[in-house]
Amino acid sequence: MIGRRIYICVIVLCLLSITGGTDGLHPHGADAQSPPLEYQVKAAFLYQFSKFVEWPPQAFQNNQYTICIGVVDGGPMVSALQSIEGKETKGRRVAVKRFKTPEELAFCHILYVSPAMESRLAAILERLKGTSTLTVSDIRGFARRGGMINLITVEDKIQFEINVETAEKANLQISSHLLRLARIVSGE
Amino acid sequence: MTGYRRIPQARVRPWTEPRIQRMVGAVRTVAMTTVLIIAWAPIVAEAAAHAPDLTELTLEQLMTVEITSASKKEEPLWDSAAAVFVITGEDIRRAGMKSIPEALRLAPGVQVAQFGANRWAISARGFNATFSNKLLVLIDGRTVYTPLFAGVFWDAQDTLLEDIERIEVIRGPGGTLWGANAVNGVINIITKQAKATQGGYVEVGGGTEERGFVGTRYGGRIGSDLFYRGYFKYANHDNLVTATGHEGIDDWRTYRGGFRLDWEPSTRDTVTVQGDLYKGDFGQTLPIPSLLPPFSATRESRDDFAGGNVLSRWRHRMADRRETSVQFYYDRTHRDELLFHETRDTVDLEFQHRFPLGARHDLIWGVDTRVTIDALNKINSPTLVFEPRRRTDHLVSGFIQDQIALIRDRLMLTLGSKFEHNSFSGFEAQPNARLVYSPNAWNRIWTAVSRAVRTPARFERDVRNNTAAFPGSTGAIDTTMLVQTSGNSDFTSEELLAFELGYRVQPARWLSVDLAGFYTIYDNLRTAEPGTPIPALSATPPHIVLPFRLDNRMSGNTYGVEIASTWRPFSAWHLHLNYSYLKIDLHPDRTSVEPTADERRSPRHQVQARSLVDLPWHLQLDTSIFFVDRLPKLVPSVPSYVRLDLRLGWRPTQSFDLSLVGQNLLDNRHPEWGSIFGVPVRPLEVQRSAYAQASWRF
Repeated sequence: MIGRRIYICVIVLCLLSITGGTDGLHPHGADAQSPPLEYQVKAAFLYQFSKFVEWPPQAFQNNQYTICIGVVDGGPMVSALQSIEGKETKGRRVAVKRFKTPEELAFCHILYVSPAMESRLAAILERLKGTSTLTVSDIRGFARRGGMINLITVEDKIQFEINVETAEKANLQISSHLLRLARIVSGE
Repeated sequence: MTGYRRIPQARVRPWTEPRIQRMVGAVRTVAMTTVLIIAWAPIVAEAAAHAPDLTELTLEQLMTVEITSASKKEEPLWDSAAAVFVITGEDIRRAGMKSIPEALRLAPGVQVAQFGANRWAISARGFNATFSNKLLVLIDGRTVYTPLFAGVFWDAQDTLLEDIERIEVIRGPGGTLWGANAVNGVINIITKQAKATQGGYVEVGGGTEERGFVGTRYGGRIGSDLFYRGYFKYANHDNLVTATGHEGIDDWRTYRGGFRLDWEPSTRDTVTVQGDLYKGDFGQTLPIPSLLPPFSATRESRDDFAGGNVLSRWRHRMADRRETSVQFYYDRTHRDELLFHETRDTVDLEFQHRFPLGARHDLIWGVDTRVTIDALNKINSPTLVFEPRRRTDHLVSGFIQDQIALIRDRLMLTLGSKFEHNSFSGFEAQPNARLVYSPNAWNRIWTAVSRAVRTPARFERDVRNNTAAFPGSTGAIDTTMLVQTSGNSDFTSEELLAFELGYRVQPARWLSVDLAGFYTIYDNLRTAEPGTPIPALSATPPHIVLPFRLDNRMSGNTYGVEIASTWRPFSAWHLHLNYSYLKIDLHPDRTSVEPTADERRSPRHQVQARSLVDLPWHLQLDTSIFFVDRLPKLVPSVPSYVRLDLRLGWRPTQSFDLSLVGQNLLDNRHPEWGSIFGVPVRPLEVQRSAYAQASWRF
């Protein structure tokens, strides 16, 4: 008797999963494979950074109402950034720009450099000189190598290093709240 | 709101259905609620749009999100090919549980029965016993079961609960990664990193059963890379009561302190050093067999335990997920009880290496060596004797496991085996094969076949125990018959072969269901077999010894289902519903006299239902209902019971909170276990209780 009930239960659960599989029910919609959790978390970090950094007024000359988050050869980050696209931060909307190569780069308030770009890092940083771009990457030692924020993984959790000097050179003001949570590093 | 912090776990966390007030017909209830979900799904789908997501977490919360799980190999629990359930620190707090064994009541497929203020019978997937022996328990990578009886003295296993990050409960064999004793399950208790416990914390409380407790911790940092914390706690627990309502004498107290240091000299290296010191004392009443009438005497005694440990671990991570780690620990435990005395020193050294091989293979291997030295026996206590009195045992083991991406991101095969050599049963191999299929982001189907062994405990080889005495006669002379149980130098490992099948589904962020089924074949299970009576007629008083020798003459099988589900209709309301079904069939072989007594010593049906509500004015109202089926084969048998716990929490600011907790609210008292040490005495019963707790963070 009980065996039969369990059987019914299993069937019902299977049914549930089928209903669950339809797009209407499923919040992730049509994308079958959501990006790895690591990148979803990193994308959320990028969004949070936008709340704790002050850009100079000229950084919003072209458009007062959007804040641009760019990504060079983003890999899984490209789809992860969908989760923050259009979200509101300090009265502005997040716009996401994707660049395939460093040559395509245009101004963005925040630029995420993927580890695949490690060999082109110097060229990318050179291109950004003189702009108020907050550079973020998970390339090892990024903040010591001329970048600003380095996302690092420590014991399965994401932490970050900040190079305050490079950020100040780019006229960016980083809030003390963000600095308190960060490890402060300086350039090599 | 920890539910959102670690997403892989949140996904496998269960949901609850609050409507269940009456636990009649547990299976039917589950089927009914499942139907309810379907009916509700379209309505609740709308709520999902408002469900909080990662992008709504603060930076501090994001920094605590775990991107991989800390099992031997970091593998999100959602993707693991095993029946895993996670109890977070937040779950323990909101359930109002005040100890590790009590917190285990939250996990499906785990049997928890309290039979003394400081004693619990705890097992997974059955074979629960006063000294359960098929469960491996680890605290931060340190094995805490005692090789004396292959079980756990739960009263000695504790820490500041506030510092527990999570308890991973793995049902089913985990022998390949964790080694012997991980037969029916593994309980992996993981404390927070020192970095996550910065600042001060004080908790104070008391009530009817938790007479009084105080705990404090302070965490800080030295330079930019070294984090530390230290803690101290004291607790005074009230006794349970007898079936007639008389107070037991089993009240107990513990004092405990410890520290943890986490040093990150570079982004690749983590060094952890941690340790604890503890002591406690408790009372107990035990029946002692006697050769003179009335042949059994009840003795009361005030006993104590103490111990300490220190553990250090170095992890070095290289590029592309290569990793090596070395861990060392030393653990000393001491117990002085009415019937026995145990002092044990354990030293353990472990090395692990993980590396990818080609594009498809991910290998992990390790070696471990352990030495345990004990001194047993109590002077002038003939009731329980260990021979030899002192013993040094060595354990050497190694494991290798390969995770193969048969189809990238779709089909993962894990093959591995543990090999070990121990002083009791020699060489043992524990292989397993696991397969997990990910048809899409919200479904996982997994299956596993594994072999595990439960190696002999010191007790099964070396014990001599006067179990019972009764009047008898030899011809014309009246004499006393003394039942004596003794170990057996040929006692060998209990073996099992487990087949498991699991399914996880998260149709939406606010709903997840985790289903696991298993069929397990056991062999060489422990039995006690009679030998030839030995007359000791010249002894005073004269008696005849009826010897029973421990042996491995039973086989059996178990099967069952465990369902864990989480439902979050609104961000302020979490529901969890778990159900487990367990059936055990045991078959002593023809030469054995063992009755199939083990059957139905573990509940056949268990239900856990929890509702967690965040109310306005910073209030939280949490309700937990537990149904535990009857245990008809225990002596005396234990009726089924329903336990209701309520917690009202108030957190006016981030730094202060107040909890009022009521536990076992539905009855004055109820028994949860029958016999103690196999002797049919009326067990102590668990009472209704309440406590209040205040805590500050600064």
